[in-house]
Amino acid sequence: MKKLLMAVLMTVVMVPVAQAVTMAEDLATTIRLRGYDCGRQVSNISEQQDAQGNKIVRATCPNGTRYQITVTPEGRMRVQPLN
Amino acid sequence: MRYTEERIPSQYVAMVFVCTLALLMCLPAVCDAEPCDEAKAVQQSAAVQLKPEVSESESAKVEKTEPRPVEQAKSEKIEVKSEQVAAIDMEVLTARLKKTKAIGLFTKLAIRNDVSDLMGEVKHYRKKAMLADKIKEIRESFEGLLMKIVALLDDDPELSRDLYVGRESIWKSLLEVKV
Repeated sequence: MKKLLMAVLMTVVMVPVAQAVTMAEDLATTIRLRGYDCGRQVSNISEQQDAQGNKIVRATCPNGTRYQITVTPEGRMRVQPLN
Repeated sequence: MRYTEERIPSQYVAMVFVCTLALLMCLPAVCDAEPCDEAKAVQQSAAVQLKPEVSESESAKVEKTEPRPVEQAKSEKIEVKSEQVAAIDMEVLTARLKKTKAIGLFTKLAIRNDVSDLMGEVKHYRKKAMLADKIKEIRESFEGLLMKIVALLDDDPELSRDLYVGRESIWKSLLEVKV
Protein backbone atom coordinates (compact mmCIF):
# COMPACT_ATOMS: atom_id res chain seq x y z
CA MET A 1 0.00 0.00 0.00
CA LYS A 2 2.88 2.29 0.87
CA LYS A 3 4.45 1.61 -2.52
CA LEU A 4 1.19 2.43 -4.30
CA LEU A 5 0.84 5.71 -2.45
CA MET A 6 4.45 6.59 -3.27
CA ALA A 7 3.94 5.74 -6.94
CA VAL A 8 0.74 7.81 -7.21
CA LEU A 9 2.36 10.72 -5.37
CA MET A 10 5.39 10.63 -7.66
CA THR A 11 3.20 10.50 -10.76
CA VAL A 12 1.09 13.43 -9.56
CA VAL A 13 4.21 15.45 -8.75
CA MET A 14 5.87 14.61 -12.06
CA VAL A 15 2.91 15.52 -14.31
CA PRO A 16 3.05 19.35 -13.80
CA VAL A 17 6.85 19.29 -14.22
CA ALA A 18 6.45 17.59 -17.59
CA GLN A 19 4.00 20.30 -18.70
CA ALA A 20 6.24 23.24 -17.75
CA VAL A 21 8.21 24.90 -20.54
CA THR A 22 11.84 23.79 -20.58
CA MET A 23 14.67 26.05 -21.69
CA ALA A 24 15.15 23.87 -24.79
CA GLU A 25 11.51 24.44 -25.78
CA ASP A 26 11.67 28.12 -24.87
CA LEU A 27 14.73 28.73 -27.05
CA ALA A 28 13.21 26.77 -29.96
CA THR A 29 10.05 28.91 -29.73
CA THR A 30 12.16 32.09 -29.65
CA ILE A 31 14.07 30.99 -32.77
CA ARG A 32 10.80 30.18 -34.56
CA LEU A 33 9.35 33.56 -33.51
CA ARG A 34 12.22 35.24 -35.34
CA GLY A 35 11.25 33.42 -38.54
CA TYR A 36 13.84 30.64 -38.53
CA ASP A 37 13.01 26.99 -39.04
CA CYS A 38 13.41 25.01 -35.82
CA GLY A 39 11.67 22.04 -34.27
CA ARG A 40 10.07 21.79 -30.85
CA GLN A 41 13.29 21.61 -28.86
CA VAL A 42 16.91 22.64 -29.23
CA SER A 43 19.98 20.81 -27.95
CA ASN A 44 23.61 21.56 -27.00
CA ILE A 45 22.71 24.75 -25.13
CA SER A 46 25.62 26.90 -24.01
CA GLU A 47 25.40 30.19 -22.11
CA GLN A 48 27.98 32.92 -21.61
CA GLN A 49 28.28 36.64 -20.99
CA ASP A 50 30.51 39.00 -22.97
CA ALA A 51 32.38 42.11 -21.84
CA GLN A 52 29.47 44.42 -22.78
CA GLY A 53 27.14 42.53 -20.46
CA ASN A 54 25.28 40.77 -23.28
CA LYS A 55 23.98 37.32 -22.50
CA ILE A 56 24.87 34.94 -25.31
CA VAL A 57 23.07 31.64 -25.67
CA ARG A 58 23.94 29.14 -28.38
CA ALA A 59 21.75 26.18 -29.26
CA THR A 60 21.28 23.66 -32.05
CA CYS A 61 17.94 23.02 -33.73
CA PRO A 62 16.88 19.46 -34.71
CA ASN A 63 17.76 20.26 -38.37
CA GLY A 64 21.39 20.79 -37.31
CA THR A 65 21.50 24.58 -37.60
CA ARG A 66 23.18 26.29 -34.66
CA TYR A 67 21.82 29.66 -33.55
CA GLN A 68 23.12 32.41 -31.35
CA ILE A 69 20.64 34.34 -29.23
CA THR A 70 22.02 37.61 -27.88
CA VAL A 71 20.22 39.49 -25.13
CA THR A 72 21.49 42.99 -24.41
CA PRO A 73 21.37 44.50 -20.90
CA GLU A 74 18.47 46.70 -22.16
CA GLY A 75 16.46 43.58 -22.94
CA ARG A 76 16.80 43.64 -26.74
CA MET A 77 17.06 40.22 -28.32
CA ARG A 78 18.77 39.16 -31.55
CA VAL A 79 18.74 35.70 -33.10
CA GLN A 80 21.29 34.78 -35.77
CA PRO A 81 22.25 31.48 -37.42
CA LEU A 82 25.88 30.47 -36.96
CA ASN A 83 26.31 27.98 -39.81
CA MET B 1 -3.72 -19.72 2.47
CA ARG B 2 -1.51 -17.11 3.93
CA TYR B 3 0.46 -17.00 0.66
CA THR B 4 -2.67 -16.25 -1.42
CA GLU B 5 -3.76 -13.54 0.98
CA GLU B 6 -0.49 -11.73 0.38
CA ARG B 7 -0.60 -12.20 -3.41
CA ILE B 8 -4.11 -10.78 -4.01
CA PRO B 9 -3.47 -7.31 -2.55
CA SER B 10 -0.30 -6.87 -4.63
CA GLN B 11 -2.21 -7.66 -7.84
CA TYR B 12 -4.94 -5.28 -6.77
CA VAL B 13 -2.34 -2.63 -6.05
CA ALA B 14 -0.81 -3.11 -9.50
CA MET B 15 -4.22 -2.79 -11.18
CA VAL B 16 -5.04 0.38 -9.29
CA PHE B 17 -1.65 1.82 -10.19
CA VAL B 18 -2.11 1.02 -13.88
CA CYS B 19 -5.60 2.57 -13.85
CA THR B 20 -4.29 5.73 -12.14
CA LEU B 21 -1.48 6.00 -14.69
CA ALA B 22 -3.94 5.56 -17.57
CA LEU B 23 -6.17 8.28 -16.11
CA LEU B 24 -3.25 10.66 -15.67
CA MET B 25 -2.06 9.98 -19.21
CA CYS B 26 -5.53 10.78 -20.54
CA LEU B 27 -5.61 14.10 -18.66
CA PRO B 28 -3.41 16.09 -21.11
CA ALA B 29 -5.54 14.86 -24.02
CA VAL B 30 -8.64 16.21 -22.28
CA CYS B 31 -6.84 19.49 -21.55
CA ASP B 32 -5.76 19.77 -25.21
CA ALA B 33 -9.33 19.26 -26.33
CA GLU B 34 -10.57 22.17 -24.22
CA PRO B 35 -9.16 25.01 -26.37
CA CYS B 36 -11.27 23.82 -29.31
CA ASP B 37 -14.43 24.31 -27.29
CA GLU B 38 -13.12 27.57 -25.96
CA ALA B 39 -12.25 28.75 -29.44
CA LYS B 40 -15.88 28.19 -30.37
CA ALA B 41 -16.91 30.13 -27.30
CA VAL B 42 -14.52 32.91 -28.30
CA GLN B 43 -15.97 33.03 -31.79
CA GLN B 44 -19.47 33.13 -30.33
CA SER B 45 -18.57 35.85 -27.85
CA ALA B 46 -16.81 37.80 -30.61
CA ALA B 47 -19.91 37.48 -32.73
CA VAL B 48 -21.97 38.68 -29.81
CA GLN B 49 -19.60 41.64 -29.38
CA LEU B 50 -19.82 42.51 -33.03
CA LYS B 51 -23.59 42.25 -33.11
CA PRO B 52 -24.34 45.61 -31.46
CA GLU B 53 -22.36 47.45 -34.17
CA VAL B 54 -24.59 45.95 -36.85
CA SER B 55 -27.76 46.37 -34.86
CA GLU B 56 -26.97 50.02 -34.10
CA SER B 57 -27.87 51.04 -37.62
CA GLU B 58 -31.03 48.98 -37.43
CA SER B 59 -31.91 50.42 -34.06
CA ALA B 60 -31.25 53.91 -35.45
CA LYS B 61 -33.90 53.27 -38.06
CA VAL B 62 -36.33 52.20 -35.37
CA GLU B 63 -35.46 55.21 -33.24
CA LYS B 64 -36.44 57.54 -36.06
CA THR B 65 -40.00 56.30 -35.81
CA GLU B 66 -40.17 55.39 -32.12
CA PRO B 67 -37.65 57.04 -29.78
CA ARG B 68 -36.79 54.81 -26.80
CA PRO B 69 -34.89 56.82 -24.17
CA VAL B 70 -34.81 53.93 -21.67
CA GLU B 71 -33.09 51.59 -24.13
CA GLN B 72 -30.65 54.33 -25.15
CA ALA B 73 -29.70 54.95 -21.56
CA LYS B 74 -29.25 51.22 -21.05
CA SER B 75 -26.97 50.87 -24.10
CA GLU B 76 -24.93 53.89 -22.96
CA LYS B 77 -24.52 52.33 -19.53
CA ILE B 78 -23.38 49.06 -21.13
CA GLU B 79 -20.86 50.90 -23.33
CA VAL B 80 -19.40 52.80 -20.36
CA LYS B 81 -19.21 49.56 -18.36
CA SER B 82 -17.46 47.69 -21.19
CA GLU B 83 -14.93 50.53 -21.58
CA GLN B 84 -14.16 50.39 -17.85
CA VAL B 85 -13.77 46.60 -18.01
CA ALA B 86 -11.45 46.92 -21.01
CA ALA B 87 -9.33 49.52 -19.19
CA ILE B 88 -8.96 47.25 -16.18
CA ASP B 89 -8.29 44.26 -18.38
CA MET B 90 -5.26 45.85 -20.04
CA GLU B 91 -3.27 46.03 -16.81
CA VAL B 92 -4.44 42.63 -15.69
CA LEU B 93 -3.68 41.08 -19.09
CA THR B 94 -0.13 42.45 -19.03
CA ALA B 95 0.42 41.08 -15.54
CA ARG B 96 -1.03 37.71 -16.52
CA LEU B 97 1.17 37.57 -19.61
CA LYS B 98 4.22 38.23 -17.44
CA LYS B 99 3.21 35.57 -14.93
CA THR B 100 2.06 32.79 -17.26
CA LYS B 101 4.06 29.58 -17.31
CA ALA B 102 2.79 28.58 -20.74
CA ILE B 103 5.71 30.40 -22.37
CA GLY B 104 9.30 30.73 -21.29
CA LEU B 105 11.42 33.73 -20.39
CA PHE B 106 13.12 34.06 -23.80
CA THR B 107 9.78 33.89 -25.59
CA LYS B 108 8.36 36.58 -23.31
CA LEU B 109 11.38 38.76 -24.04
CA ALA B 110 10.94 38.24 -27.79
CA ILE B 111 7.25 39.18 -27.52
CA ARG B 112 8.12 42.28 -25.48
CA ASN B 113 10.63 43.29 -28.17
CA ASP B 114 7.98 42.86 -30.88
CA VAL B 115 5.41 44.88 -28.91
CA SER B 116 7.87 47.71 -28.22
CA ASP B 117 8.85 47.70 -31.93
CA LEU B 118 5.19 48.07 -32.87
CA MET B 119 4.75 50.87 -30.33
CA GLY B 120 7.85 52.54 -31.73
CA GLU B 121 6.36 52.32 -35.21
CA VAL B 122 3.15 53.99 -34.01
CA LYS B 123 5.16 56.75 -32.31
CA HIS B 124 7.33 57.25 -35.40
CA TYR B 125 4.40 57.59 -37.81
CA ARG B 126 2.47 59.81 -35.42
CA LYS B 127 5.46 62.12 -35.12
CA LYS B 128 5.59 62.44 -38.90
CA ALA B 129 1.79 62.79 -39.09
CA MET B 130 1.63 59.68 -41.27
CA LEU B 131 -0.28 57.45 -38.87
CA ALA B 132 -3.53 57.66 -40.86
CA ASP B 133 -1.74 56.48 -44.02
CA LYS B 134 0.04 53.60 -42.32
CA ILE B 135 -2.76 52.55 -39.99
CA LYS B 136 -3.74 49.57 -42.16
CA GLU B 137 -0.19 48.19 -42.22
CA ILE B 138 0.24 48.69 -38.47
CA ARG B 139 -3.10 47.00 -37.82
CA GLU B 140 -1.99 44.01 -39.90
CA SER B 141 1.28 43.77 -37.95
CA PHE B 142 -0.70 44.02 -34.72
CA GLU B 143 -3.10 41.26 -35.76
CA GLY B 144 -0.18 39.05 -36.79
CA LEU B 145 1.60 39.58 -33.49
CA LEU B 146 -1.57 38.98 -31.49
CA MET B 147 -2.24 35.74 -33.37
CA LYS B 148 1.32 34.62 -32.67
CA ILE B 149 0.90 35.28 -28.95
CA VAL B 150 -2.52 33.60 -28.87
CA ALA B 151 -1.04 30.54 -30.59
CA LEU B 152 1.90 30.45 -28.19
CA LEU B 153 -0.44 30.49 -25.20
CA ASP B 154 -1.86 27.09 -26.05
CA ASP B 155 -1.23 25.87 -22.49
CA ASP B 156 -2.98 28.90 -20.96
CA PRO B 157 -6.30 28.87 -22.84
CA GLU B 158 -7.97 31.39 -20.52
CA LEU B 159 -5.34 34.06 -21.13
CA SER B 160 -5.28 33.20 -24.83
CA ARG B 161 -9.07 33.67 -25.04
CA ASP B 162 -9.00 36.91 -23.05
CA LEU B 163 -6.30 38.34 -25.31
CA TYR B 164 -8.27 37.40 -28.41
CA VAL B 165 -11.54 38.79 -27.05
CA GLY B 166 -9.86 41.99 -25.84
CA ARG B 167 -7.94 42.63 -29.07
CA GLU B 168 -9.97 45.76 -29.90
CA SER B 169 -9.21 47.38 -26.56
CA ILE B 170 -5.55 46.35 -26.89
CA TRP B 171 -5.46 47.98 -30.34
CA LYS B 172 -7.07 51.15 -28.95
CA SER B 173 -4.56 51.33 -26.12
CA LEU B 174 -1.72 50.85 -28.63
CA LEU B 175 -2.97 53.83 -30.60
CA GLU B 176 -3.11 55.89 -27.41
CA VAL B 177 0.68 55.65 -27.05
CA LYS B 178 2.08 59.11 -26.35
CA VAL B 179 4.78 60.54 -28.62
